[in-house]
Amino acid sequence: MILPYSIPATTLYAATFFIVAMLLLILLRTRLRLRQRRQKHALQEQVQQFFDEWLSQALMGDVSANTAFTIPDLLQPGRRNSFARQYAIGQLINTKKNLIGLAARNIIWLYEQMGLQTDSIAQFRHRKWHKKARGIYELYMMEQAGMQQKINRYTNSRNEHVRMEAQIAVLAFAGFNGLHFLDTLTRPMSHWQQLRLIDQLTPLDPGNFDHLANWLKSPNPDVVVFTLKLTDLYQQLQVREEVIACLQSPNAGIRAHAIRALIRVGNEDTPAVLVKQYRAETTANKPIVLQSLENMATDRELPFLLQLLDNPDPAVKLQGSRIILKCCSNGALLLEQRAHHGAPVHKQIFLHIKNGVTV
Amino acid sequence: MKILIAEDDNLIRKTIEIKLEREGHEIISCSEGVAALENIRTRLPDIVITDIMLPSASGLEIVSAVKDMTEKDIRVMVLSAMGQENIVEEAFRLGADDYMTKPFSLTELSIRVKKLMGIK
Repeated sequence: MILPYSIPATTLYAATFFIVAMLLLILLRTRLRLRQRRQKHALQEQVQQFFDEWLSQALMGDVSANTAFTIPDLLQPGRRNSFARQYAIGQLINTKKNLIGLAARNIIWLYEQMGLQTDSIAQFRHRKWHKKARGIYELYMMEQAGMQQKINRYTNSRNEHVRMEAQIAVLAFAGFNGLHFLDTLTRPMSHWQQLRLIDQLTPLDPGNFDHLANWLKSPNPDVVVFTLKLTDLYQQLQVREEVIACLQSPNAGIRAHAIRALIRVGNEDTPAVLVKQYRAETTANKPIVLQSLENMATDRELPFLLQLLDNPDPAVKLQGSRIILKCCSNGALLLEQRAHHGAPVHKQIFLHIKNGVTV
Repeated sequence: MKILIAEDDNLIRKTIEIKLEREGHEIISCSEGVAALENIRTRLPDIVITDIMLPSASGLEIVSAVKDMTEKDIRVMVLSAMGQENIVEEAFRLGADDYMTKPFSLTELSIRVKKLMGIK
């Protein structure tokens, strides 16, 4: 065991010196960090002051290419001002998000007059993915449509975040025409990303859907699922056959979306297709088929629906009864007869749905 | 008209402020909720334009406080972000007179302020 008096004095001195040196280093570093933070804060305040005093007034006016504009010193292009310029871009984007009309147009004008697009392009060209994604975001937020072709190359980027921003950017620039990136997309497209893109398209007038049939045959299952969602949402009847072909996909997710899409794009033959599909479907997809049939079944599907009433699963019995009541002529009478002559469960189901379904 | 603007985004607040000042209104500008409530009590504006999400006291608290006041009938317009429809509903339940969803146009804001003035 090492005892205190057994440690040589020189070792103790060295250890003490080391600890003091480390403490001094930590203090110096903290001081330096605080100074940098203060400087950044002061710079932010200066940029903010500039915006408060000048920019908000400029946003009101009707600016044009001939309007005189002088870039203040702290926002002059150059490495020295990169922090202030980046802060300015953030402020402009934030303001543009909240305003529409003349003021929003003026924000883009100011962004271009200050040459801030060069900073965004530099970010976009950066090797680090987060800077690239940020650059793409800034460019589409500031409607720099000239960059569309270059950004388009990243719609299939290896990096998920860059890919997502690039896909959003091409839609921001070109609306529905921007969806052409689906032609070449080989990488995954998350459910969240699909929602974001659909949300982005929602306020636009429905546009070019010429490639839907090709996308439904894409080897990328996410492209097929996304296209099925578009088909469903925009009721694209012209791709009905391709949607039916998706029912043969080995991917259960694709089949589930195809079944849902058929509610909106199906015709009088679709219920028969769904009945056939039900028999081959997975346990998870079977209820989706029944939900779809609830919207389109006819008397022709009655034999199949009556079989559902004999299914051992009460949920299937209930769903089958609902479809009969809603879609078949004399459905209520059929169910009532079954309730009187069948097992007690049929009586329970009949009583349950009698007042619960609006025919 | 005396108009109080409660908005934590400096640039948006300043832009609204300049727009309404140019139209001849007296502006009281606040970046956070408690200051807005204090100014409403002491300076009794004619119209309050408030963001929903504010530091220290929310836009809903401001609507509620304004509508509980007996000294003056103050009109309130709420600024909300998209997707805050349920909060806007709550604001109307509390007595808000109008609302605008961000992003909004300054011209539309100005028209709505004039309409609120007409109600008075």
